[in-house]
Amino acid sequence: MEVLSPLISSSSILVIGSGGIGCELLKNLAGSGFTAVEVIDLDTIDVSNLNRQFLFRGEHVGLPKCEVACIASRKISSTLGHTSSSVPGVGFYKPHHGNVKDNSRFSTSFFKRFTVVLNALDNVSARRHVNRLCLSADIPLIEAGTTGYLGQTTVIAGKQTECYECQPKPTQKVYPICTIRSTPSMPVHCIVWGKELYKLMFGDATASMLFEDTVESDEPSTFMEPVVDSRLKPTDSPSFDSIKSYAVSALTALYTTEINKQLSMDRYKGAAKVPVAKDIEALMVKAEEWWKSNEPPSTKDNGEKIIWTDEQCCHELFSIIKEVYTTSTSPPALFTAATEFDKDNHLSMRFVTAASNLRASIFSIETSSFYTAKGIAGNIIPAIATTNAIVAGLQVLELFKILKHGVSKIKGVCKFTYCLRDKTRKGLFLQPTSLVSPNEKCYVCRNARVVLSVNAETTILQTMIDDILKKKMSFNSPILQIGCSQIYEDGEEEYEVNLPKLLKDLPAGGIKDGTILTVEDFEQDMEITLEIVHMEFDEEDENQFIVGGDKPKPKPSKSSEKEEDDVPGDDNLGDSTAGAADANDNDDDDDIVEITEEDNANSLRTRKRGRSEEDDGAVAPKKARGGGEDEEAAIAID
Amino acid sequence: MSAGIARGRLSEERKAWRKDHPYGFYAKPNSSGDGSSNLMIWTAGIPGKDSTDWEGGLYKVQMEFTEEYPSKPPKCKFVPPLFHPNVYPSGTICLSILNEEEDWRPAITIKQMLLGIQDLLDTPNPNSPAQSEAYQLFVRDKAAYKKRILEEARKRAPA
Repeated sequence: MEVLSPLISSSSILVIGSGGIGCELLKNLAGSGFTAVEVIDLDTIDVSNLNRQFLFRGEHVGLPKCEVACIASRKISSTLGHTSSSVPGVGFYKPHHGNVKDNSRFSTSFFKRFTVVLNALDNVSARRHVNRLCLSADIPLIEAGTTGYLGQTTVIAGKQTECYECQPKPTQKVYPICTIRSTPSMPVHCIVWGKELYKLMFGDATASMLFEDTVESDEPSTFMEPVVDSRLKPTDSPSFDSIKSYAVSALTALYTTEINKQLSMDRYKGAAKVPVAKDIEALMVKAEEWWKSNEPPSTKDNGEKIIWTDEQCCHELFSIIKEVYTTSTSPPALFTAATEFDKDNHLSMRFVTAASNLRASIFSIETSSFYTAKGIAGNIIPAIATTNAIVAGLQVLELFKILKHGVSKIKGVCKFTYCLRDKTRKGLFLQPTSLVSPNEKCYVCRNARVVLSVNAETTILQTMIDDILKKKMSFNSPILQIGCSQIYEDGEEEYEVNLPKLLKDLPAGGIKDGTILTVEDFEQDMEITLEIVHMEFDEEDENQFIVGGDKPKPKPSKSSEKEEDDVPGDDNLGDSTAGAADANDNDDDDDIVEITEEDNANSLRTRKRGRSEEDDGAVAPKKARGGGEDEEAAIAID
Repeated sequence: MSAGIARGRLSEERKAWRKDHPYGFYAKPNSSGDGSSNLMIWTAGIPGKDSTDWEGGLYKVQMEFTEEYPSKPPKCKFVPPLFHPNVYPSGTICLSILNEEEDWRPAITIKQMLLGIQDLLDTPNPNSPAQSEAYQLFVRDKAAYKKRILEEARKRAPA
C-alpha cells in the first residue's frame, strides 16, 4: 500500500455504470483511497435494485443512480479523511446523469482526462461504445460483467490486448419471420409473436413482423383490415359496443381466419402437431360475462402466477383493448413507434402474456403464466450480488496492477479472470488467464488512427479532399464515412452536392471537433480513421491543417506539423467509429447481463439462450428457497 | 452507434461488389436524400433468370443490416412485395440462407444472397408457403401461375 498510495492519489478514474457492479466498484474505490472519480449512469433507482445495489435506500427510489452513489461514495471517502479530489480538473465522486453514448457530453476528449476507465455496464451496446472511445482516447479499460453466478473481469489496452470487439459476442437470438408467423414450436416464438402483435395493434404497424402490405401486395390479408385499419380513436370516446366489436373481429381474424388460411396452404402436412383455430365467439361468451364485471385475470390473487385459460386470455385481451381505448392509462403515443412492447410496462406485458398463450394453445405449445412470460420476454437472468462483488473486487486489483506497473505493461501483468460456478480441477472458482494480443482482423482496433486538425467552420469538403486527402495523404479516390453514413465517394454523382459544403454542415452530423471519420480508398486498398480536431489558423499560415501522428495532442501548436511519414501505411484497414452518438439507447442485452428486473423474489425465472425450459416452463413460479442456491443461472459467457 | 464490425464488413462487401458482380444485378447503400447514404440499408436489383418466366423483370430488394451483421443475416424484402409463394405479404423473403436458424453463415456474401434470391424466383419451395395467393396458384394451377409470373415480369421490366 505504501507503493500504491501516491499512485492512487494521482490517478483519475471514470466509472461507467452505478448499478449492481458499479455500487461494489465505487465502494472499493472509495475504500482504497481514490478521490478523483467521476461516474456516468443514465438510470434511476428502482425498488428492485435495493437488494444488491447497497448504496441506495428506499427513500432514493426514483433518483438518478449516479448521484446517490456519488454521495454515498463521498461519505465513505470522508471516513478516510478525504474531502476533495486529489487531481485537478477531475471531480470528487462527480456524477454525470446521462447516456454514455451521448457524444456531445462524453466525447474522446472527455475520456482523455482519466487515467483508467472502469466499466460497470449491463449491456453490450454501451460496452462496445465505451470500448471504442477508450481505444480512441488511448486509455486502458477494465471491463467486467456477470450473468448469475458467472462473471469475468478483463483489461483492454489498445494495441496490446484484444479489444472488446476482437471476438464476436454471442448475441440475442433473432427469430426468422417463418418461425414467428407460420411455424412456432416454442413458447418464446409465441411471445415474440405477441410482442409483434402489440406493435401491430397499438404501435407502428408497418414496423411489425406481422405487417402485411395490402396496397402493394395482391395477397388479401385476413387481419390487416380488422386489426389495423379498424383501429379506434381514443379521442372519439368509443362505446363499449364498438370496442367489443373491434376486439371480437380483430381476435377472430388473428386466431381463427388467419390460422385457417395457414391450414389451407397445407403448411402443416405431415407435421406432428397441426394447429387448431380458436372459436373466439365461443370463448367470448364466458369472457364477456366476466368482462362486464371488469376484473381481468391479471388483477386476481395470484393472477400473475397462474396460467390463464383461453377464456381468461380473451377476457384479459378485451380488458386491455378497452383500457387502451378508454382510459388515461392508454399509451401516450398510440399508433406510433413510441408504443412498443416493454416488459416493465404492465399493460404490454399482460397483453403479450394473453396474446401469446392463445397462440401457443392453437399450436399445442406449452402456455405460460404472466411471470414466466415476463422472464422469457425480458431475457431475465437473476443478478447475484456476490458475483457482482467478486468481479468489482477483481477490477480494482487489476487497476492496482496498472498503476503499479504502468500502462505499457498491461498485457504482461493483467489477467482475464473468469468467475466460475463449478470448481476447476485445481479446486478454484476463479480462473485467471493471460491477456491475448489484438485480433489482426478486428475491424475496431486494428486500424490506424490519425489526428487531423482543421478549421471545420471555414473549410469546405472540396478543399479537404483535394488538399488534405489527395495531395497531403496520397489518396487516389477517397470514400468518406461518418459512422454508418457515407458522405463522399470519389466519382459518385450523388455526393457531389457535398463538395461546396463547410465541413461542419455536412450530413450525418457534419465533420466537427471530435468527429471520427473513416477514409477508405478501394483502389489503394487502404483505410484510415481520422480524428478531427477543430482548430483556427492564421490566414497567413502556409498550411491550414495539421495531420498529426496517432498520439493526439491536446493543444496542437501551429509549428508542430508532422511530416508526411506520419501518414500510416497502405494496409491499415479498419474501422473506428466510437465517436458517433446514438440516440437509440438499446439496452437489450445479450450475453453479459446484470439484470434488475425482478421485483418479486418468488418469481425469478431464468431464461437464456439454449437453456432448457422443460423443468419450469409452465408451472407457477417456485417459491424462493432462501440463500438463492436454487436459482438456476442460465449461462453463456463471452 | 456506428456499427464497427458490421460497417467494416459492409465496406468490404461494397468493395467486392464493385470489383465483380453478376450481370444485370445492382446493389448499393441507400441514399438518405441529404447527400449521404446509409451503409446499413442497401437496395438491390435482381434480374429474372434467362429462359425462365421471370426473365425480363428486374426485382427490387431492400436489405436491412443490423449491428449484429454478419453474425446475423440482413432482413431482405421485395419492394414492392412480390407475387411469389415464399414471399410474405410484407415483401419479406423466406429463404434458408437468410435464416439464422437454418443455413445462414457469416461468410455468405451479398452476391451469394442475391444469387440465392434469384434462384428462389423460379424454384419456389412449396413446403414453406408465405402467401396464400401465389402458393395456391402454384400448387393448383400451374398454367395460371405461369401467366401471372409473366405478367409480373412484364410489370417489373426496367424502363
